[in-house]
Amino acid sequence: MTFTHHLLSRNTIAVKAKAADWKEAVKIGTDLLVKAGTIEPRYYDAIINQTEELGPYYLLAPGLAMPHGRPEEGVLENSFALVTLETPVNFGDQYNDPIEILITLAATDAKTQNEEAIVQVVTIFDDDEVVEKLRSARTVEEVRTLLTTIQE
Amino acid sequence: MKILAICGNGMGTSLVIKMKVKKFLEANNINAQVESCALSEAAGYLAQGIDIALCSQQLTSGITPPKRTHVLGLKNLMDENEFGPAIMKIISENSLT
Repeated sequence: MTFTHHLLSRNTIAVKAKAADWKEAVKIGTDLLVKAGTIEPRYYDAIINQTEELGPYYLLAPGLAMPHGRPEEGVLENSFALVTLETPVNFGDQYNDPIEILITLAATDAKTQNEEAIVQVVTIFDDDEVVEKLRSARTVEEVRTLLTTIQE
Repeated sequence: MKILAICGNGMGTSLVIKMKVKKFLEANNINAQVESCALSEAAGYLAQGIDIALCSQQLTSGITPPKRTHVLGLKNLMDENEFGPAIMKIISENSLT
């Protein structure tokens, strides 16, 4: 399943969400996945603990983060959430902060299952025009329309 | 030439680095084997002989590379203008194939 398909079929999308800090920002994404039934709530704690231990190594580019844990930390199904923030938050990385778009990744398998979806993530976020549209979208419906266009 | 992308748990970030690097190498007609793994698995991979290891800058301090391995800590993982010239420099300085 592709990244856009995951997001559209489970509607794990939040747009212009409000978060006071990076932990709240991560929680918006994991809450969407808990609600969708694809992760256990402890997945959130795993991400926070690992970030505090290793640093936010999952910041992909300025403004863009892909928080995730390991399969055994409460992943029930392969899934993604997409969160854009009303006010960007800092993760403590002077080069990529502030973060405005978060892709929460949950994968049941370390490599193979996930690769197709990650290829699409890379393709989407390599495209400045798409990123700009995502950033400026005001509603979930706008983002859904954008993702549907990408998917086709 | 062997290249390894390393991240915290080998699930996502290292895959992103691997894909970007593969694309870059193919576009530049450079033949290399690119793999990805978690920080906890890195020692095993490095022992097999890795020429260039890439990871987020936050993780470089956690890697103890053998003499053969050049470690590149990246800020922007998706910007080939950052990792591209750095990889090319290592390749030419060490005549890697």
